[in-house]
Amino acid sequence: MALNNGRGAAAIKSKLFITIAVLLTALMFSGCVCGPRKRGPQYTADGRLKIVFWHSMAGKLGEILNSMIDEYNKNNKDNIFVKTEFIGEYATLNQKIAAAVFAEIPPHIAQVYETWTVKLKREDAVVALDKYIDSKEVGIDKNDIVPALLKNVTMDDGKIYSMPFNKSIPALYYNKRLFEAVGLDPEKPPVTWNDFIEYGKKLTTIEHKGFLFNEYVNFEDYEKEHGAGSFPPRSLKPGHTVIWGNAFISDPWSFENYIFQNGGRILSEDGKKAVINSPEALVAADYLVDKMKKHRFAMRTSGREHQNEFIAERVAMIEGTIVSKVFMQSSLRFPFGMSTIPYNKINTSVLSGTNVAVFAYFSEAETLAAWKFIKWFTDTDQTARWGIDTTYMPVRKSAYETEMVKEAIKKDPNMKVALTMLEKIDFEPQVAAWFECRAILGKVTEALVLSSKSPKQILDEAVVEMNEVLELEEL
Amino acid sequence: MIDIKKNDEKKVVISKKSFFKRYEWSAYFYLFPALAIILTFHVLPIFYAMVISVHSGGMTNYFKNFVGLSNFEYVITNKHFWYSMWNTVYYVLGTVPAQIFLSLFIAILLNQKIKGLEMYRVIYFLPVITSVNAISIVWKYIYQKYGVLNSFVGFLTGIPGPDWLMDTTWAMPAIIIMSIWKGLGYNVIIFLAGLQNVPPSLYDAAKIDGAGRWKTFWNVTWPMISPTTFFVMIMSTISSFQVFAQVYMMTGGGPQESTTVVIYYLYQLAYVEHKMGRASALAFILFLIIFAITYFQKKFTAKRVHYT
Amino acid sequence: MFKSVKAEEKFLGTLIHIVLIIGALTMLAPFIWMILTSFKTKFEALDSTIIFPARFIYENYIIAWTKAPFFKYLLNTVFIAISCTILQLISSSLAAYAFSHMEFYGKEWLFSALLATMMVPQQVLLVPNYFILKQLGWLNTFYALIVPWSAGFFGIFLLRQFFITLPKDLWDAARIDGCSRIKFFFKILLPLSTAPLTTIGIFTFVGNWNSFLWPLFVTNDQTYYTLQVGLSNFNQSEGTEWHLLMAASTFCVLPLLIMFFLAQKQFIQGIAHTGSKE
Repeated sequence: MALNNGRGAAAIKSKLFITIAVLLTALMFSGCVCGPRKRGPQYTADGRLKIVFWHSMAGKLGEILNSMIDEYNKNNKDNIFVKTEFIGEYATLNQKIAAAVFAEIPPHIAQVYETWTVKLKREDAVVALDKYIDSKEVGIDKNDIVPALLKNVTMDDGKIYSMPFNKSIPALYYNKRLFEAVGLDPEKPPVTWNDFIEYGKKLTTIEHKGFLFNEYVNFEDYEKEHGAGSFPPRSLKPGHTVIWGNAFISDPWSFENYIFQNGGRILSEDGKKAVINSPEALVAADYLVDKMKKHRFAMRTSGREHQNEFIAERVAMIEGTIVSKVFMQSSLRFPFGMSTIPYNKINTSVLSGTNVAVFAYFSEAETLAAWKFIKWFTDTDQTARWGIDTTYMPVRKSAYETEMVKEAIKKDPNMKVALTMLEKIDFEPQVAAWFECRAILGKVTEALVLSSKSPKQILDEAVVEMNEVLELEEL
Repeated sequence: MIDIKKNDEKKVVISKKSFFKRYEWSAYFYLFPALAIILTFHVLPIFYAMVISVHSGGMTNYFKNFVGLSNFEYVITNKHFWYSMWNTVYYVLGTVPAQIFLSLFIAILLNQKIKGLEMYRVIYFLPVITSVNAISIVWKYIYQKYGVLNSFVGFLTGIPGPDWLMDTTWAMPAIIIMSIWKGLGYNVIIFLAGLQNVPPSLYDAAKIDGAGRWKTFWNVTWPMISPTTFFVMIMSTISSFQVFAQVYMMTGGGPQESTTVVIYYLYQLAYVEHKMGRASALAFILFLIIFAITYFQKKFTAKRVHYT
Repeated sequence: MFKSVKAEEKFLGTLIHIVLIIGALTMLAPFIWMILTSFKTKFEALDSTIIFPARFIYENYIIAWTKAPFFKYLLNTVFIAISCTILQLISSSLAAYAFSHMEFYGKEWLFSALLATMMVPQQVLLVPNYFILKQLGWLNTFYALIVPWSAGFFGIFLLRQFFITLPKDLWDAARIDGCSRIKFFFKILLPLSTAPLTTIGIFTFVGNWNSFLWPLFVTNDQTYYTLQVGLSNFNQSEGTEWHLLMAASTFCVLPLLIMFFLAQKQFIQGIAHTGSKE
């Protein structure tokens, strides 16, 4: 009716308005292109080729990474500019990578776990790096890479799709002051599981009326045990309620370490079946659980809280990673020691940390530039420096022989744990379905600690679930 | 002249108009901006979700294989799904009645013509306006084993508090408490408005009849605010079924899945396991459940709501 | 029990105040704790028996503010929230106008269909929308953050309810005087609708400001992060540095709190308004 009433000026005005409204809406959608754009190489304002690097290096680690990359950007002769983006924790990074691959807008380089690489490779999302590694102009000496790390990044088709980047192994941190207070030798950390249990019980102290008690919280029982007239040691911090021998996080990595240290495995050799309910694994499970339930010297925390408890001196020993040192050292106000974690049958450690992969959506020039950066970062001097600053393992054999590493160990003996090339390193299975299996393992580790089911039951159920997942790996 | 015009128009209205003349077609131009956006981003995705839900795909292609209803089957027979439903029901039953009761109680108190009404309203509303993820960080800090809540509880009662967010028994109650705290003010405001709409004459009449405080509440206030109560109940139920952010920020669904509510399970399927087909199937089932609950809630309470 | 009705009322009055004060303190406690902790050192933050910091250090704020580009995040958040609000007001009022004042084919059907869309939870839409955004090429741009939230049925519904309460002769009289639809819309209808428009404006602005999941998923790049995404990112990076986290949380929460203090009446009226329109 408004358009048909023939009132000249008003009609034209409304038509005009409507046209404007339509145009405005069209403008809103104008960002629309038919389908996602394929981006060509991007350059910075001063003409350098931009390479985007997604990482999960939190807090201090991120700062160290950024300062090294700033240096690279300033000094590299290839006109490359690496832009870093902290994406969040590894879980977030995983989601973002998947979403970005789907949207065909991934970064050039990203940190990846082997399980992610397997999935990405299946989608043809990452490039095989062999042609660069073996090339005459930009190649590197494959034999100089730490053998376990090289094996770790070689996929089942024999090709390499990622380079080791920030690899870590577990480490034990212990409070030397608390060791002394209960009569333990501060230079002798626990070596075996039995040592750990013994030390843990000794170190757990419950403060009662200014005295430190182990297990008994009254003077009568203490006297019964230690003889009439004896008193427990005085409390270090008056008003401090409890000191635990150990704080732990129930994450799959610790459980893996215990299983491997006891000679067990998680998956069979061919990766087709789960064997996590073997007797060796059960012993490992008991070790994990007993320190909290039976021997009562350990408390459970999550995330990085165990580090905070260690800093606050509420906990005497923690099993963290070699990298925990970087997070904690500025806050530690007591003498502390570092060593490899206690083992049972085999003195081995399970490798953790990520590699870096290059994504397949870019031009040859960009992929080459990404490789050049990775080559620089994993080169002897840089990887040695990275190891010294962050306590991650240097990835080149030659790095362990450099002067800077030797100096670093001399200055701080605790660095020995990270800067000595280990004889025995294990790593997680590399089958495609390991990602899901690891998630199951995580739930299992938590269940062992929290659920009322017996460890045998939990592990048997885990085997069933894992086998299911291993079979379904196509989906 | 004006009169004649009016008569002409009246005539036009009475006579049979063609299809095109009956409707105002320019209306579509007015609707266009809003409709374009709503259809593209709020309606179209629902259909896309339906399509995705009958496929299973990989990271780069959601539509790789057609699998019929097997995603739906997977979800419905999956114990994790039922566990998450149970957790959600636990959450809803824990938050909604408590919230309604507490917010109505506070609103009634505020309605007693007390001093400082404005200040109280602002204070009670502060948690509502704060972003969920910022305040979840704060609550996570408060809920630590050696955090301030346990210190406070220990100080008052001597009992050492649990490690709230890490304890399978206490994690969900911890989230429930935080959610009640956060949403209370919103419902207080709504109830206050409802209470203020009750005509004072009714209260006077009740007084004259000699009714005591409780009788007045039950026979006058409660029926008069029933539309408001009804509104609050439905809105609270729908929104608490959709709880997500607190779980994401504070517990990550743990420990042992005890706080994995159904939207969090959806998030896990889609973004952790990358099973888009299953996630979409779940989304669909969820939509039906919320729809059903709203429908039955409306039906059930329709008889009990007293409209003036 | 009491000597007189007056004494009883006095007692109850005091009791009411006590209950309300306890309630108010419970509401405020987390905020107070957050702010106090933001001034503590790392060690004071780890010990919850320490309530007041020995010295109020403000360094935490500086460190937190500079560790991540929070200023950019703030600008982004403001830009996105304001854009969405303005666009939402325009699109909703236009559509509501059509629904309330015009007869068009499919009117009732369309209204009910749109009403149904309000029941779908946001997370459900996330996956397919990601796909749609990819097709449009809008991922990791401001378009993805603004356009999808520039219209919604909530605003249309509220305004339509309001418009139909206005007297019908208003339009008739205006039309006779030579007023076009558009002119009527801008010169007469909108000025009368400040109440519902304010409500919608506030809800959209706050909802957008606090929105978290959507911006998290559609952006990959610090250039586009909002305060909430930035804070979550910061939380994952500085996980256990509680003193820094509390500082960051404080300044993320502060802008909206300030806006709320300044516009209390409008906020509260807006919410009460939605409740009574059922």
